[in-house]
Amino acid sequence: MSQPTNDVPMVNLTIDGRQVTVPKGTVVWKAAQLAGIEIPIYCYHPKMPPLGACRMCFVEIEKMPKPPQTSCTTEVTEGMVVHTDTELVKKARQGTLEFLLINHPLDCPICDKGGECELQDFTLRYGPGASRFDLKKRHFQKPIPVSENVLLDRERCIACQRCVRFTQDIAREPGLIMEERGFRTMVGVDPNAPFDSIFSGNTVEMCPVGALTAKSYRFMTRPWELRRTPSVCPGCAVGCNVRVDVRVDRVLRLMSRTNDAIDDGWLCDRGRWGYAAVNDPDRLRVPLVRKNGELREVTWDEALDAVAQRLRTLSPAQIGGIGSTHTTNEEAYLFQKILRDGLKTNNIDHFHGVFPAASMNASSGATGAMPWVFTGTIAGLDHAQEIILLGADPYQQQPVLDLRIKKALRNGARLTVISAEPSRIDRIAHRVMRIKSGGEAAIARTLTQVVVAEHLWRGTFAEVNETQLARYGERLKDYTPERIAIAFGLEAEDLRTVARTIAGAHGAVIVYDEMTTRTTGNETLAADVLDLGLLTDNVTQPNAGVGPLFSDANSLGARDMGVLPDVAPGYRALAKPGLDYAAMLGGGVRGLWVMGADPARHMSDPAALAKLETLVVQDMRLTATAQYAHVVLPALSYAEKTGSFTNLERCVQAVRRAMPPLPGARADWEILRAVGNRLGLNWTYRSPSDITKEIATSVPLYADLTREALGSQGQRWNFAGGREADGVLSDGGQLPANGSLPLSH
Amino acid sequence: MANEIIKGLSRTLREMGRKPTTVSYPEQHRSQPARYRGRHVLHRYENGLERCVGCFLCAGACPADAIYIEAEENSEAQRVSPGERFARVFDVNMLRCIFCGYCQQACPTGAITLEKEYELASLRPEDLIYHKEQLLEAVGEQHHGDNPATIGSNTAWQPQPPADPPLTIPQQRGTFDGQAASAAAVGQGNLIPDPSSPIQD
Amino acid sequence: MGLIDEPLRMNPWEPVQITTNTQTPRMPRNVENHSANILLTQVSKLVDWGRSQSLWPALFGLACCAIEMMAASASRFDIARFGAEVFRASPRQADLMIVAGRVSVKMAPVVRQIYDQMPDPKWVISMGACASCGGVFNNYAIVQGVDKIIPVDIFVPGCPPTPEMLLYGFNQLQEKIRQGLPNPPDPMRPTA
Repeated sequence: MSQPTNDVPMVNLTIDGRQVTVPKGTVVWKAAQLAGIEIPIYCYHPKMPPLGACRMCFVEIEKMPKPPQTSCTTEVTEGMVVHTDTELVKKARQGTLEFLLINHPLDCPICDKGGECELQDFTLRYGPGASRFDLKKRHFQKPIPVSENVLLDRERCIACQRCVRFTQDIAREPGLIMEERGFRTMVGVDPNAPFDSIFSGNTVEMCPVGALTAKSYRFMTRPWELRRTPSVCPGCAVGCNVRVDVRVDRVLRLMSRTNDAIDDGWLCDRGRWGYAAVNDPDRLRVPLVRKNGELREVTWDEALDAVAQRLRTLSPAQIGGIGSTHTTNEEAYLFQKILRDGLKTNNIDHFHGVFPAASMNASSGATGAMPWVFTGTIAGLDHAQEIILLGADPYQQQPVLDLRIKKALRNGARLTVISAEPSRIDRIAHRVMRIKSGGEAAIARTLTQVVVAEHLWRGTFAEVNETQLARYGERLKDYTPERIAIAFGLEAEDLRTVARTIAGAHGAVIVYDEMTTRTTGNETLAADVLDLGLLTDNVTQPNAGVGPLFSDANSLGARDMGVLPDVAPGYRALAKPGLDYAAMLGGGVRGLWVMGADPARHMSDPAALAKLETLVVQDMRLTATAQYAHVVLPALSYAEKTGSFTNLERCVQAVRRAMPPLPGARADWEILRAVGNRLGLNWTYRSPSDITKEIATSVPLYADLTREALGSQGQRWNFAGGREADGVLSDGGQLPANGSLPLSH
Repeated sequence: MANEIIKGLSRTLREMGRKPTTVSYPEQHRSQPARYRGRHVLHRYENGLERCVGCFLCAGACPADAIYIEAEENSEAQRVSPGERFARVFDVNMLRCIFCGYCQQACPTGAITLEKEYELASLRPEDLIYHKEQLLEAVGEQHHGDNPATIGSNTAWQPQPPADPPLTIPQQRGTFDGQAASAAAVGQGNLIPDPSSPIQD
Repeated sequence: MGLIDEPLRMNPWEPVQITTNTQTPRMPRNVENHSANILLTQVSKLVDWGRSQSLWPALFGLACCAIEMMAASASRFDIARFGAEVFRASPRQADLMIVAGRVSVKMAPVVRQIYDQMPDPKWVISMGACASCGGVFNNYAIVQGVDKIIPVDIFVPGCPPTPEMLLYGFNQLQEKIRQGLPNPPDPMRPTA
């Protein structure tokens, strides 16, 4: 995105008689790939700089001395003539392969890579038919664990250095190193630093042979046994694209499915190996109903009748619903619809961060939540100048975003970490400020105060509101850098410098974690950061953005779909808001319907759930909440149903059914449909697509959404076309683009 | 007229003395052709270890998707096959199987062969899914002198290697760079290392 | 995997293998007949013996298995030794259906109709891989196991089964009849 590609001159060359035109600076290998000509290679990886270590990608280039040349390190020049299948090239490739196979063991039948191994494939296509080597091969101890999840088989390593370069250059973490020299070169573990990166799974995926293998996938299957389905990782709000590999009825691995706009081709270990819940043998298979104080297995009809009958006996004000951040948009939409239309209640919420409602905005008069979202793009992070992590720890919470930040650092960005807890990225940050927990909002206000006090504001928003700024600065007068610096043990000048760099940067990204807003003192953090962004013109600029980093795969989707007490889908204000999460759990309702959530985790006294007259739980397992339930309905995982997730930058992505549903369990939307019909709603949704169609017509934010439009890489909905400049703030219709500050203290 | 009757009757009388072609099947079994392919048998090495290394190649070659395998790792405490890996589950769905013998051809260790057994029909389809325990030949049943129990067992499956075979499978031979060498990974555990190898430890 | 939603319910003849072999879901079958009929027990044994020795198959050769079925009735294997040489072209005179070959989805209603036209008691042998579970024809056109449309008493594996394999299955069926085991439940008329 916004990569300045237009002004790069194009170069014409000929590869195997085909005319190819590529941008200047492209290497010959890439040009050949674009032209559809395969050149075997091991060390090259599209996301990493060329190395030229494997000596496999030989080509013959006319008028170049000493043929053959390595195509991955030779840049194209005008009029270059390249041959990829001359006798010389073939001989060179055969020689390289023969050398590689001298020490590579022939244990393909039991190697996890066998079937998708580049050494196998290239040997078959380009290699010599037989080896002349009849001496003994070298042997090492078979797999040694290099980390908790990754095993290294040094016999199989062909020293392409992909894994080492990934950990050192992309992930910037220690662990893997190249040991020894010459023919003894091999991958090894750094004796001084353990390989405990959260990105270690990527090395397994990019290893061209079976040298690095995943412990969870070891000997589980062979590639040809797998059914592959494109889907979205359910691990966090980044929404990395994955390929779900299923064998018969078990998810065996998740592989990355490159989406340059979101994951850049990487996956974190949490997402990659976080499928255990899908395969869990303890998953619920039969509905349970409490009879004589005990949960008993019953038929679906009996359980659904029990739900409808129990809910019907309660008055609307006595019923509450707790939604999930893991269910699809379609299910979240249907959940709030069944509560609002079927049970006539607005008591509906889910566990989320604290975001000030628009009702706090005195001038606009609107009520209800605002469409809080990260206003930049994930891809825009690459070219941001300043990145401020204000109480956010992407390494733990949104790991792939951490790789984006590291990419930005390679591109020259400056990173400031302001947080209460130490994080892994502190090591490479340019400035680290340790503050007390709950002080993030105060820091944001201080930075705003500096901007106002030093007249650093800029952009249209500030111009329109210049008259208000003086008053605004007056309100922030307590938040001088000096006072805050003393309070947190920082340097006042540092805070001033941060504020100045934010105001002066060509694109500053200021992000905070959704859950940081839940700490005491940070209730207004969201609004404070938005103020700072608006005043420094970092909301709608390219490569800039402010906003929350959500926690779960569909945290934003649940908000957008109106699983909130004070807004209908699309943040349309409601006349009479219902009870929120804490109020419902605190005894505000007598009947609670929980879909895919486990509120008992957030309660100091989960036994209070037992006091409820009716507790209905839809979940995959018997969670702590379900222990107290009167009816438990077994639900399906993301791998077994169809729908869509909305990631933290409001990119809507399709989730596809990758395997047959667990016998006995039903998808949440099917359960909702069945209960809805028992409540007399006459719902006729045949598939999640039907619900998507309804969302497209009834939720303004998702207008005209179709599953077909999502394609394989998703769509940033309502960011397309000319609306992009307006950013998120005008989308919900809650904030006029030239409106007042969203929050006035 | 009478001529025809005599002609016909003479044929009848002639045939009366001959042995009927009918094989009275349940009591008497026809000898099967040499290349007849019946039920599968999983074989063992002479030392009792299983030949199967759980490589899934038979399942991959199977045109009817009749073979289901789950592999697991050998441990020193419980060694099932010579290499790193063995088949914990090995099911052949005889109902799906078309007895084509591709699995036998695909097998890198000669673990699976199709033998002469053909009395397979059953009242219950689930009985026709043969599990590893049913398919595996018993320990010690591999050979009875010159008379192999099954055609796939050690004495009959493969011709004996020539007197001076080239060493094609890496064997456990000493150490390299101070590291203990691993056993032959694929699991041709009973091949004898080449004595005339030019490299001596 | 397309963008369009997958159908909600499984196609009964879904061609992909969706469960492990060990978990193939089938209807419960062949429950022991526990009728406490003291007086007529011996008579029914005699009747069962008689039935088992005079099974008249309906002509139902669908594919290559039919060649082996014909061979089984020819002199070398001679199914007449078991009283089943009378292959009837009319289902009204038959009490055994040997489904020999793959049943296409188009043929399924015909198979079912012929089965329905046969008078009780009646038995079915599913001969060969295709009839038993679709075999190599793991696709939309072939019924994945004829036991999805008619109750099958005996499954005979093979592709095609040799006449001996069929005769073995046939003997199994005779044995079953003599033991008085009931037919498996009808898949098209599920009992409550």
